[in-house]
Amino acid sequence: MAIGNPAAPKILPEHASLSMPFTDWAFVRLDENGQPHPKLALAWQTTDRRTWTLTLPPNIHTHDGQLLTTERLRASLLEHARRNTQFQIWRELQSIQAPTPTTLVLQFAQPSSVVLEALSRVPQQMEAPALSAGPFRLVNETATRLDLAAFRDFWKGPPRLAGIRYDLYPSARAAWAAFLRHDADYLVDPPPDVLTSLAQDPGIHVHHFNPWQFYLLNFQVAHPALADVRVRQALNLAIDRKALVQRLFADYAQQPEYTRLTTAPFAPGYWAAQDAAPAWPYDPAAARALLATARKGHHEPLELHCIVVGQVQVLSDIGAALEAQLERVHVRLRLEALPVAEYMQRVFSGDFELALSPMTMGYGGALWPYAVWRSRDDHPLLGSGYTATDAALDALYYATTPEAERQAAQEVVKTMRRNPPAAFLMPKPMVTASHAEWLIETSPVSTHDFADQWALKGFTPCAAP
Amino acid sequence: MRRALIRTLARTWRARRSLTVQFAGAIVGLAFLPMAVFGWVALQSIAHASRETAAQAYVTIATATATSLATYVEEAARNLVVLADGLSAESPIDHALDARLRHFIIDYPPFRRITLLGPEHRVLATSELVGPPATLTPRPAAWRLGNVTLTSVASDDALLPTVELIVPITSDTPATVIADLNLEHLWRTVHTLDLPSEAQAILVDESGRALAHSNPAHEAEVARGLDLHAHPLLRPGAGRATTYTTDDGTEWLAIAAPLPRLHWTLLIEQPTRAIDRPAVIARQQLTFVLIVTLAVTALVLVLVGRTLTAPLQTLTQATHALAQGERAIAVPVPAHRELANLARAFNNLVDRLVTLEATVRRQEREAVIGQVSAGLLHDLAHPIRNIVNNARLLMKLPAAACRDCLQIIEREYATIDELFDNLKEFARAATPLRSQPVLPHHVLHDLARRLQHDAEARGVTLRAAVDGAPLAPIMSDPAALRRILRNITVNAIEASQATQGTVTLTAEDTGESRELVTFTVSDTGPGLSADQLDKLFDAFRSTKRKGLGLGLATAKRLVEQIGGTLTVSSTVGEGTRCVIAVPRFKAAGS
Repeated sequence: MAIGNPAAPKILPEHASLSMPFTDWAFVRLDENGQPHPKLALAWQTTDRRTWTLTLPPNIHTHDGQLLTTERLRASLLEHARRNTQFQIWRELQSIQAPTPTTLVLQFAQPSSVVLEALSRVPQQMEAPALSAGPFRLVNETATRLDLAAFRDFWKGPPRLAGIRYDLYPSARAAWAAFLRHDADYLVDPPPDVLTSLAQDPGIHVHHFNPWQFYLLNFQVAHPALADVRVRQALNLAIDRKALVQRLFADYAQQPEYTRLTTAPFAPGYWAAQDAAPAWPYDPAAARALLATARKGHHEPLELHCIVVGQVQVLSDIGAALEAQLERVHVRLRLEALPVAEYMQRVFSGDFELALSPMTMGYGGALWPYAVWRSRDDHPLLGSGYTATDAALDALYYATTPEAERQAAQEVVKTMRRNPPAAFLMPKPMVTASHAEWLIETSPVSTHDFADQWALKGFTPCAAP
Repeated sequence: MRRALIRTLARTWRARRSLTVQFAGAIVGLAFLPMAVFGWVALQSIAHASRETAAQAYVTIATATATSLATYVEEAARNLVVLADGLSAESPIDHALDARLRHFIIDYPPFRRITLLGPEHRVLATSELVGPPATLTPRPAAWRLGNVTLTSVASDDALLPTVELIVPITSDTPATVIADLNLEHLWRTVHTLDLPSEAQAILVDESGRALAHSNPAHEAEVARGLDLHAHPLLRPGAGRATTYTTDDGTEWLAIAAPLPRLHWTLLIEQPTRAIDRPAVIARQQLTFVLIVTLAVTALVLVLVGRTLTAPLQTLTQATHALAQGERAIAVPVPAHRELANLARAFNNLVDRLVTLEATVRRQEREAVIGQVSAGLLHDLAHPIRNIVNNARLLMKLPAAACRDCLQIIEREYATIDELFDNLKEFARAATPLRSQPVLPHHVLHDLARRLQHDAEARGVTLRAAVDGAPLAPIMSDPAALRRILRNITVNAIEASQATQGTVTLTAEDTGESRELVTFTVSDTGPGLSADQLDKLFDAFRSTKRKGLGLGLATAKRLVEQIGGTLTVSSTVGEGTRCVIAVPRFKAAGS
């Protein structure tokens, strides 16, 4: 099977981010509501959310032919924790024990609500040593192509597909055109304006997945102009999100999941944050009034520098649209497209005023919001800069009961509505298409489950209907 | 072959035609043919009208769509001209124009990318955020739309068709605006056309390259650069409508609508089979209705016809039975008045016939009794008178003289005894016969010997001409054969007595395979008239003074019983000749 994929931002070295769902197998998976389900870990147990016992299947082989022992997993997890200290959870990992060949016991410094969410993302190929044990193994990699071969010793049985070829195209239009020419069997992220025509084609299946990413305009709250909460509120009020969705996502905008506007960094389906606060209304007059109050004495337009990941057409389009919308409230956006590596470096160092990018929230709760918006004493340029938000994030992070988690999530939404660290724009559409001769059994799942389906039961080659 | 078949069918039809079939056929023909003719004419009209209607509809759709598409391009061009005019008013051109170009695209989505070129194709501003090239060379101009130049359609980096719109601007710094027009919008418009089944719309550029296709299944071909320059409506001098056939044998009705002021063409076409489908469906429906109507009508007519002809068939069968002698016949009287009258007349006829036959049988019986009585009265009167007279005489005569009288009485008694023998012989003629070998010559010799004395007493010469080789035996009843020849020979001798003539008996083989033996009895008596000849074999009819007239009648009946024939020829004054032809072997079952 050939997958046509628009070139993604190279956040990870090479194209590992694309192949990871197929090559690696996390401990658990989260469904669209953030609820955990077994994956590599057959079961887990905790009494205090501090000590977690994972039960693993026996005789798991990694792609190098070795047995995936608990000792190897322990070493990998420790390495993962060492490399990912931006996540609080790994900083608080105290010990890992392997009392039996199929049991791992993780001990954290404090109880946490994000352990399973964190375990849904490891082991991963970028860790050393690599513990890839997924249904496919990466056999070839070039700038425009990835070749994955079926891993016959996959612990849940050999995949039905002999292999997967990932073709990377310069744009969504190019990937779509290749798909129409049958150069690709499967299309990821078709251009928004072709969705209807694809859906009308009886020879093509269109698959919708629940969004697990969204676009946001991140504010550097330490910037003098953005330190004033009224400016950040004004920016949120000046953005016409519905027009943005309609203009940029055209046919996607007809799907309800893409029109759900959000005011906090949670996936739309996250159970604990449902109906916490109303979305930002589009009110340019109020925005202008707030800006006038905040910038009393300044008559020139507010000029803000916005970095954006380059070579992604949709981000350029969003940037241009924001540029036009903010101009109506006398905010001049100076867009700067950056290579992804430079963009990431600037964001993680806090060296930006505004940063426009997609953001992966997954289906979980506090893991990513805490990593991004919890203010850190050791890095004053990162975080929300708002103590109430920090407190709410702490409460969410260390929640020991579901009710505590729900109350904390609601509080995070409210504080971020009150003192916004970013403008959360819209969910990132997650749509794929396949030619009719490829059958996929779909369900609303994350990309990890997407790979599950491909590997275990989906995408069975069949005759065209 | 076909003619032979038709002839056979016609013969069968003629042979088997009946009143019912003719009646049903006539009614069905009268009802069915006008309906079929009307239906056929109506279908032709529907088929013709379908194509005309489809063509007119497609002309309307194509013209409206072409105008819409042209308006789309023209509006894009006008907007670009407005942008260019705005840019020309600004001087100097600087980098801040990037945002303006981006905002223009936000407001006018048809443009994917707009670039402002300065002298030597140097890029002054661009809507692109990333990687604007230092220079950009426009594609060759293809045609103009007012102040806007359009390039030929080309494939972009995604291998999709794009066209560039170029507008020169005049300012202190000569510049040109180049905009990539989003052609996907065109095929989205073409996609959304409400076309009937199997119809398709294709937008082609001036070179015949397909830009858009209404059928999503053909998008791949469009993406590959589907070339339609050989389409019949895209050839120089081609009309606006035509029908043509593709290599796969599909006939298409095609309509072309040029985009006003542009050099592109919108084609709308549909397989004629799809256009004709309503007529085909109507034809199928009409055929179905006709067949059902025909079948129902025929069935009803056959049932009605059978109701009408059933009494006739009954009457026919009764007539056959009547002819075969059946008399206990009475046909049922049907409800229909005419047929009831016919049935009653037949039943009356049968009743009358039975009555008449009974009367005839009674009269015949009475006639026979009368004949027998008269014959017996005639033949017995004289002997009995003689016996009575001689008996009276005996009483008066002396005993010696009684001898003659007694002889007369004895002779008369013999006469009466012979009469009774003849009656018994006539009655016995109906008894079954035997079959055994019989020698013909031996029969004749024996007969001649037995009758020689009687013939001589009558002065008649009796000859049995049996010279030559004896004939082979035949299979017959010897007693019957002897009785036949005896009766005929005795009759001949008696007939020849007056002329003292000769009676000759012969026997010979005859027939093509000598399968017959023919006995001939000829005399030289006075002969018979034609009237006498006709009644020769009638029983109880005789020209002689003595006898009941049963001899020849008995002979005739016996000849028929042994399977032979008896023919008589006679000439008055010359004599009579009887020929008895007997089969050598009687046919089985006779």
